[in-house]
Amino acid sequence: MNDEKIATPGEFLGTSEEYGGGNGTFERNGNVYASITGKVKIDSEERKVEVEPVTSSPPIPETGDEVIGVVENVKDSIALIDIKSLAKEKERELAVSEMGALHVSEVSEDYVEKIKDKFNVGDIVQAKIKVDEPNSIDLSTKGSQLGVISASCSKCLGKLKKEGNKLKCTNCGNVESRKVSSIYEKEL
Amino acid sequence: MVKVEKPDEFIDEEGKRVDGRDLNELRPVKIEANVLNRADGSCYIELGDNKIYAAVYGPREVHPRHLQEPDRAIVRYKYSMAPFSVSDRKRPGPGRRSKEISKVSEEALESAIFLEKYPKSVIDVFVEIVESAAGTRTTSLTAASVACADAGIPMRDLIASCASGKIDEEIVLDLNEPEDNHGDADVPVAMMPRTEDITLLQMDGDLTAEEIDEAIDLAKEGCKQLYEEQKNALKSKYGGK
Repeated sequence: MNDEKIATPGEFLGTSEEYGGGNGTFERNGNVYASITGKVKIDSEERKVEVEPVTSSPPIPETGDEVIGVVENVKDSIALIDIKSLAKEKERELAVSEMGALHVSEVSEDYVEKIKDKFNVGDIVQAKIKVDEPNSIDLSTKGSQLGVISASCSKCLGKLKKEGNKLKCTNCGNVESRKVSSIYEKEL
Repeated sequence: MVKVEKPDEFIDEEGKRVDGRDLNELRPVKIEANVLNRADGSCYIELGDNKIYAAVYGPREVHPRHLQEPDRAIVRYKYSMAPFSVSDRKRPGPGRRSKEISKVSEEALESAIFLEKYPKSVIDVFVEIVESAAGTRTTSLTAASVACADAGIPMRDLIASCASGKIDEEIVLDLNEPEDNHGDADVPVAMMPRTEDITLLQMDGDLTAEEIDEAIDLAKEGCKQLYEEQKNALKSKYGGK
């Protein structure tokens, strides 16, 4: 079998004695089959066969991934963020939206006294996954790209424009402090 | 309304059918994967005069929430005929017929999908019949399974589906419109071709036990031919052999 072979779901890849099944495969009755459409990758040293998807795949958030979410609640030392999609794959929704926690110590490299000074409910945030465990995702917004990427005024719900490190309302002139991302309003 | 007339004979002396096909021959088929931009996976299929789009969204969050299953994904399949898809205008929206087809197709499709990989989510499948000419439920399923594969949803196998039926005392494959309207029986079959597991089997009309067996066997042969076309559609889209 050459490396560039494309398998479709249900295609026979080999027997269980030949290969262990990796991602994109399943075993049935001692045989290994492809479960998705993709390139067949055979690791002859590890005796392992994998199918690398050529189609788009349902996104699964993992540690280190950048995600986009909405701030749902701001408490004393944490902000709860409803994770909506992966930053690299905005077109596809997540199968299940999950809550991520952003601790005040993970907001920025500088000292942040209150998380209320940096986030507000309804802000759209780009963040990185620090710890990914079942029912507990810890996020971080350390880094210039990370932080609020879209927000509206807390007084009049007008559009906020970036001015240095602050956000200024285009409607009422109210100035708000946020952890603003370098891509604020650029990629939405 | 343009009525499909009943021909004097369905099969001529040379054993050819009204459209010139052999008894065990499918109508010409064309399948293309990934045709819709906004869908996660999609497929366009033509089988004879049938023209059908299938779109897949998800796995995504379930709304309303109470439909959610804690240990697996659910599949929602919507079969819908465009008002202009038939010779008489079809009143748009779900009806008795399309609700039934949606239900049986949903069950046929979900048995091929590894639902347990995406708990609490939903896979939405929308099938739109743009032009209809007999055998739309089977053709829709064939397209829907290619669309699921195009969406990267892990599956045990593709679902291939076609119908067989009885005309002039003969069992034939893939009924066309006059044969479907005026024939004696119609047997739609869907299966996973690798294991030959049947996931949908219906019957309209009267057949003897022997004729049913013959019809199922014939439809299985048709499904296997369609399976090759489905694989070709996916492989040619994504540049493999």
